[in-house]
Amino acid sequence: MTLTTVAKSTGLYKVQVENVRNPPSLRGSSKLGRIVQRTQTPGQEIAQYTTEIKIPTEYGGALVGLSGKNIFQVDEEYSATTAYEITFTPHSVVEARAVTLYLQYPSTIEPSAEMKTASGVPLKC
Amino acid sequence: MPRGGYVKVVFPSTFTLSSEATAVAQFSIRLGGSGASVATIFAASASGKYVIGSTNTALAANTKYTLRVAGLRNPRYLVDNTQVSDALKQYWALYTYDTDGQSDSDNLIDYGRGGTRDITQVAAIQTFSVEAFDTTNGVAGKYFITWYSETETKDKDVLVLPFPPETDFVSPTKNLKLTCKAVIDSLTKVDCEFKRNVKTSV
Repeated sequence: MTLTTVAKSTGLYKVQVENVRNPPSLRGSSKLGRIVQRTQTPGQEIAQYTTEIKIPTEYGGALVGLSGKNIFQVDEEYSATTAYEITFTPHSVVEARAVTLYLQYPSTIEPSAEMKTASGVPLKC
Repeated sequence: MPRGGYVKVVFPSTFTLSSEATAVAQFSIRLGGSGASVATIFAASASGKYVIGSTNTALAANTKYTLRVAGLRNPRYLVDNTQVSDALKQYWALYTYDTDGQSDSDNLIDYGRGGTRDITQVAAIQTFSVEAFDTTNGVAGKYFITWYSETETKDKDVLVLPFPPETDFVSPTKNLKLTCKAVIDSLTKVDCEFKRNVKTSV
């Protein structure tokens, strides 16, 4: 950021930055890089902060729109072995790596040994 | 150099005479480095970037004297004279004058220029914090950046703040211009821009 107009040459400074997205999970972030204050031209270093800073996340994001109408049951006959289609919208970015999706189902449903996702990925119960 | 002559040291423009009183009180020119002082302060100018002493004894030719100037503040940024062109190098200069004044055209005895000093230790920002207004994972919102610095900050200085890779910038207008504003009155105007993969390591 450019400190375009400085009213006090030393002391306490505080800036609000908007539209920064928090880390995707409650694991929080890795540490920030080296924070440097420098002149604009030719970029000579004035001061630095090197102590570790991480951005914590305290509250879990909510899945949007997960209600009864988002759970579609292919066969509604009692005791039938069937498939459930559950649609949900992640509030957070789900990264393209191994993540765990925790699904809690009612105790009246008994899982089969062949549970898998619609794309064929086996599910552990 | 005669008794009653003058010695003038001119320091680079990046240095500041933070205390003329200190410069006056602690000025000395000594034979070698530890002998009796052979001069008294004549003038100290913060705006002119110089200090002048008046000799109270004749200074011998081809003899080493040590001039002490106090009350100087180092440049506020790193200086590596090996990395700058000759035109941008910051030189110290020293003049000696005869008894009638400090005129370069009439009374100059000796002139020397060429000394440079590097500033190699970057100052520390005393405290720094980055706080999200909403600490829910995945939410895009406000962050408050707070720091305390005793190093002089001037208009158009740049603060490089490498956010961790787990965070991202949501640009409503796709122009990568972050919305930034000063929260307390030590800053009047702040401009922000988002860049990826900015390296700030030394």
